[in-house]
Amino acid sequence: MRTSLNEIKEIEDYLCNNLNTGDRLIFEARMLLSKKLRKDVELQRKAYSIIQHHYRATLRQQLNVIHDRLFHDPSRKAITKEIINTFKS
Amino acid sequence: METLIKNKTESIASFYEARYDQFFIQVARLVSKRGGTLEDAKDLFHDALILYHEKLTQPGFELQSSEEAYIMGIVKNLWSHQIKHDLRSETLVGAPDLMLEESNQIDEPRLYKLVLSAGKKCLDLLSSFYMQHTGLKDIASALGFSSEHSAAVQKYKCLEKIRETIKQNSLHHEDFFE
Repeated sequence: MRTSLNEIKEIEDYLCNNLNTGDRLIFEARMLLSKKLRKDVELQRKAYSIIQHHYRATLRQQLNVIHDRLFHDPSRKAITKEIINTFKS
Repeated sequence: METLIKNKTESIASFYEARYDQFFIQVARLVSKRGGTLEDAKDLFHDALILYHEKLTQPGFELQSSEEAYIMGIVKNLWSHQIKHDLRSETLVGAPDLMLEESNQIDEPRLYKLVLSAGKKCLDLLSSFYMQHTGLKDIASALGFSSEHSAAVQKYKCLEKIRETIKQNSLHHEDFFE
């Protein structure tokens, strides 16, 4: 892999606690000395956060489709009625 | 990649259906009692199942209570949180031991939309790897790569692309780089 991809892998190992104690201390020392590395770590942290957000947004869309199907399923008419009545009182 | 996502979609569908009849009515009753709507109940139920499903797919996770107690516990936490925040506008909170710390949540839906438009395929790949724990072997097979190494390289290229998109769109936020 090219250098920049190796750096991404290294940051991932750091953020996922996959570095041993010695390597972790060295990495943290490098962060103290390098503003660019600190920025890259934060950017990557944010990237994981966005990946998680994307996963959940995708699942929500899928669950809404499944929910609509189940909610209007004739064989579930009784339970659907009970659910609707829950909000009428 | 589509096959990979389809298989995973089917697994979440059967996971959801298996719990719908048993738990949705309970969530509806709880939300109704606390003044919420049917739509609130649906959203909370979905978010709770998403969090629960994430926990179940995490290596080493063991359920310490009943499934019912766990799911309803998440629902109650999410509801308490929703009173103070708009739940749909931010990352989920409420379940213990989330992969990401609260401080890492996305505070900008705009940024997500930009990253999505710049690289949905990459987001799908990375989501499959990090969130669904799909192995590099399966990803390589779905993407037509000859080896796991090629899939790993693609994974890091995608991370680089997303990182770069975030960087380009965060430049005006001075505090981001402090």
